[in-house]
Amino acid sequence: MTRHIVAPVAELPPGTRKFLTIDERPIAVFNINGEFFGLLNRCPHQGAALCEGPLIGLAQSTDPGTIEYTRLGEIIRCPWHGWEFDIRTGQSYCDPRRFRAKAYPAHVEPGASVVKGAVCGRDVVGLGRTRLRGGGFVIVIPGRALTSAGGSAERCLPTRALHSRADAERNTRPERTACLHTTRHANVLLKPLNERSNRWQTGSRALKDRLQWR
Amino acid sequence: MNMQFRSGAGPGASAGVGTAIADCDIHPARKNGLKDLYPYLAKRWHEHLEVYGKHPYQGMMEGPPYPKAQPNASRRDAYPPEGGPQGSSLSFMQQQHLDPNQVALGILCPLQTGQGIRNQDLSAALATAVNDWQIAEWTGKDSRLKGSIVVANEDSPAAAAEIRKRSGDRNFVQVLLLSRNVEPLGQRRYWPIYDAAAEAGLPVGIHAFGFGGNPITASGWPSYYIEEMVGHSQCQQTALASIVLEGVFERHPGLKMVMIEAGFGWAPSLSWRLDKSWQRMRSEVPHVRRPPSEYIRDHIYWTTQPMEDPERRDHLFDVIDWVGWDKLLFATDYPHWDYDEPSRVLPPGVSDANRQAFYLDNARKLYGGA
Repeated sequence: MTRHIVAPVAELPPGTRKFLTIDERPIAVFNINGEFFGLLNRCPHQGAALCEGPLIGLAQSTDPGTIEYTRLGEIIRCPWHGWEFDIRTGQSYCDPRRFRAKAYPAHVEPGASVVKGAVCGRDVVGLGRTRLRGGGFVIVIPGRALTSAGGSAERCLPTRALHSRADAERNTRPERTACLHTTRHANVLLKPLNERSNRWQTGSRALKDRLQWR
Repeated sequence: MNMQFRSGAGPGASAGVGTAIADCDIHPARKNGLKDLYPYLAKRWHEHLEVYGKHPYQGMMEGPPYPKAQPNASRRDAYPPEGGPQGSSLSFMQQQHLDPNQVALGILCPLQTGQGIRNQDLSAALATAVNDWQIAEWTGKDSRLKGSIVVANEDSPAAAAEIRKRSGDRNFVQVLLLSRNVEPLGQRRYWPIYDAAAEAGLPVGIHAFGFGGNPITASGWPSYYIEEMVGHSQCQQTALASIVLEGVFERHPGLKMVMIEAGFGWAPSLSWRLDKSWQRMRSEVPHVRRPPSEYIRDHIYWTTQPMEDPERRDHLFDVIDWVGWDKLLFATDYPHWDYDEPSRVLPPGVSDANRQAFYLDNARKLYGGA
């Protein structure tokens, strides 16, 4: 998987969120006390713009009359039906087994290691997972042009390749929101799966079984 | 799993059903509260409202309990860009809801009007002002929208006069009542309303909420908003049982009624229970000449929002089979927060004919062609 640059850390102070469109996916990145989390801006319930909802804490109770209110700012409430989701994991609180918002792990990297010569000295937030092998980065090249939030199609280059000067020059304005790569283990055109596992829109039985976990 | 994303479609944007739909429960709001009704209200009421206010039939608190889970009980993304509360801008409603969802027929159900207040003259004045406002600001500007005749529900002669005044006006397609009243809605004090509606050839919509001074439950005042939400069904059951058992449908064999925003999952069980009791106690109500369930099947329509959502879709289909695919009227309740996204309410397994009836044709038949 490629890692993709989202924004300089300075653009995302704690308690704020940033909205991006990556590969036609609406995604928001949140800063919770210095940690970063990405969430798909689509509620799994009925498709509302989940990430535009208010940030709240978690109200829990073991006994009527006692309430514990913790994790302020780490739960997001959908602007439509008010469903609560954990920003860190996408887990829902009304039915964690069945509903989850799509979460994208995010982390900070020194800017210099991401794009040489462009964001020297600044940290950037990247989305996606990385695996370190032999000291370098493992890259999966998507193989096609992905659309950046800037609107123009731009080839997202693996980090190693960016270390060349020519690539750095080609990759203008790297602090602009870049592309997100998702694991494409099944490139099928299914409509969004509705909440209940028996409400399939289309697709083969084999595929249904494999995706049963959703 | 990969979700298919359409380019250009923003989050929260409607996926749409792909065909034209009806929306049988839209709530237009006023930008500036009661002041927006001043052009349609006699001056004496301006001062009255500012000095005395509206006094609803509501025990234990001075006004309705807002916010209801979301600001103004509405979607947070429905604030018009030009300002004002959700639902107060026709242009934004068109842009966010009517156009992308291809709403071919939208039924307005104004709330926070003069219904359920104790000063009956003020109630009647506000009702007729709201009806004028619907024409001026909504139905007169967008022909897809049709209004409901708001009436002074506790003063039925005045309500009947308002219905007669609007009879024949194509801006209105139904009479609007609320489910919480001073007495159960079948009782004779409300009969002039049904007489006038039947005379005008209009259905009567009974929408959840209202003020009757009575608790929403049959056993006292509940503690939580969530109890109020599920309590709408109880209210509507009271209204429906009363209407059937008082003989309203014997008096008006052609009158149709719409149960709005109170669910329909309870319809079969209430009907079975009514039938069983009627078999045993028919002599108490000899004017009820047929089993109650027959009146319900013949006279009652149901808006779908909030849509029943059982774990197994075959349970839902069983209920709809009883209620009738020809009796459901699709509604979103826009802009309220418990809005039903049209493309997400029906599970797969519904025939094309039933889908078409559900989304549009039933509404067209009941309310007249759009």
